[in-house]
Amino acid sequence: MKLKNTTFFWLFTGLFAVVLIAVPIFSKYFLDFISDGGPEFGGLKINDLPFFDFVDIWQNLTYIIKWPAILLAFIPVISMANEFRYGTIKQNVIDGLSRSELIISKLLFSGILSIVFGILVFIIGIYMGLMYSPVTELTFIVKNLEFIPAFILVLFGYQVFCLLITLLIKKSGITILLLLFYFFALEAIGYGIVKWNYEMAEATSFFPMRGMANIIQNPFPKYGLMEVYTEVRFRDVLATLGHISLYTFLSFWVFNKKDIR
Amino acid sequence: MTVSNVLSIQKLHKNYGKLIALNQLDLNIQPGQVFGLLGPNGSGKSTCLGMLLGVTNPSSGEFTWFDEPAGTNSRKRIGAILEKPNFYENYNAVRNLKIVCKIKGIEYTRIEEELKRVGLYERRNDSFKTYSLGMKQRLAIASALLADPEVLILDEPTNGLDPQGISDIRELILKISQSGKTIILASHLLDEVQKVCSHFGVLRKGNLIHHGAVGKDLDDSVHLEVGSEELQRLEKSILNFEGYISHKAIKNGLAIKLTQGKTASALNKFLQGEGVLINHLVTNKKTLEQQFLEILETND
Repeated sequence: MKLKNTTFFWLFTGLFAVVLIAVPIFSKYFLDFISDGGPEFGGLKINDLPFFDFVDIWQNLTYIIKWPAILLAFIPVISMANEFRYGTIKQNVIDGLSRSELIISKLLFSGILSIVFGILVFIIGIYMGLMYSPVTELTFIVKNLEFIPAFILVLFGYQVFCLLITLLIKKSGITILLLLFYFFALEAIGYGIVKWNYEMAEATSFFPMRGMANIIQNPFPKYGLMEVYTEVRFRDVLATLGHISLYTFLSFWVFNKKDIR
Repeated sequence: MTVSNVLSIQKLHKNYGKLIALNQLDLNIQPGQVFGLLGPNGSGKSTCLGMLLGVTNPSSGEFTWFDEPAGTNSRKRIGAILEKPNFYENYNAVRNLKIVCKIKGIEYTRIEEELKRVGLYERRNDSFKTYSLGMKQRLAIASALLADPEVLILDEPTNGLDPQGISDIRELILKISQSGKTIILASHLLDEVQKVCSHFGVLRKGNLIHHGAVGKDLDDSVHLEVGSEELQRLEKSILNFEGYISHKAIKNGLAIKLTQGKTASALNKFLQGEGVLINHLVTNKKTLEQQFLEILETND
């Protein structure tokens, strides 16, 4: 409906795109570096790990990139907060847009952004895989590709959650600080406590952001020969969709209830 | 299309906790009226308009636009600016107006015409943030007029403008009102309402304490200021003047209210006959301002 390609938009998408491209390349060099002079684990060099091999690559890549993905979620935060700050949201409503239409336009925008970045990760994955993977048969390339739509869901979920918080706070600076603090401190600690408490481990799905991010499980412990989930679990998909629906619903509810000032 | 009421408000109410911003407002506005909503700052004008335009949720009460339940469709037939011009800072005038066109569901064809009307055509490709306040205000009016709306709502349209800007905007409002559009104008500036409005309502602490036509409420009494060095004699003899209504003391003299048709020269002649020497005699037109203050006083 309306695109807001302003400075911050390009800054954040650009930043995220750079991170996106840099992470796999950097990790490749990093792995090379530590395996050159670094320690050996039982005769196994880190470089020998099938990090960029097809099948593994999708989960590895999306798992790493889902963390900096929070950068992308700041786009709806700033875009929405700016609309509040300059009163454009008020004017849109005065001019005859309904509040729900406004939320829909924001969600649509986030959805498109998520898909675009999903495709970008796919392209990077194909590129890195073809360069470094010993197997390049199509069946292996396609296997586990469901991590890409899962990644798109995570991106979208982050954005919906951040949008909801922005609707409540309305100021971009405070919202971003709060989200960063929540994500990297509050939730990280809470998540850690729940996760290592064995009986409660499944309850991690209830954390707003990590609950959604859980859809892409950490693949790396398997290189230490631990058991991990190497596919997208149905219950995690459900959890993520549940979170997204909840935040979407709350966004509509909060925004329709509030006075716009 | 003929509608009996452009706007009909029934018992519209808004409170923020215990604070009552607008108290059970009833009001009808007919097509073609230029309605001035008067009131001091914080009297509930903006709250009222905010509710009528869907940005503020009413606590209770109802209103209809064009005899239909209010919603996005009625808002598309209204052109409105509230308090300050709200536009995308980084976009130029044309781009901002295109967004408005999209929302209203109309073609871009009138953008050029409206920009020319408000005198912003030369600056149309500059971004909004480079505009002066007057230009922003004019762009807001252009945006409000873009869809050729049946109703125009303006909230303090001359707020913060320089005298030239104020007179430009007023001229624009007058021109628009002559084209037969219904206009609702909120203002705390009385002479603004007097200059452009056909009807007016006065809000005070959320209550509508008066409403009616502007002309009708201006009664035809004559107001004079008389100065004299013999104030006591003046005060005594003035009581005998035919057409005397009331007086009160002001600096160096009296403010005297006389019935319709009496003139300063008739009073002067009378006072000369009484042997009272005066050194100052001025006729004051009764303005909406005096009327407004009287309304406020009688409602205290």
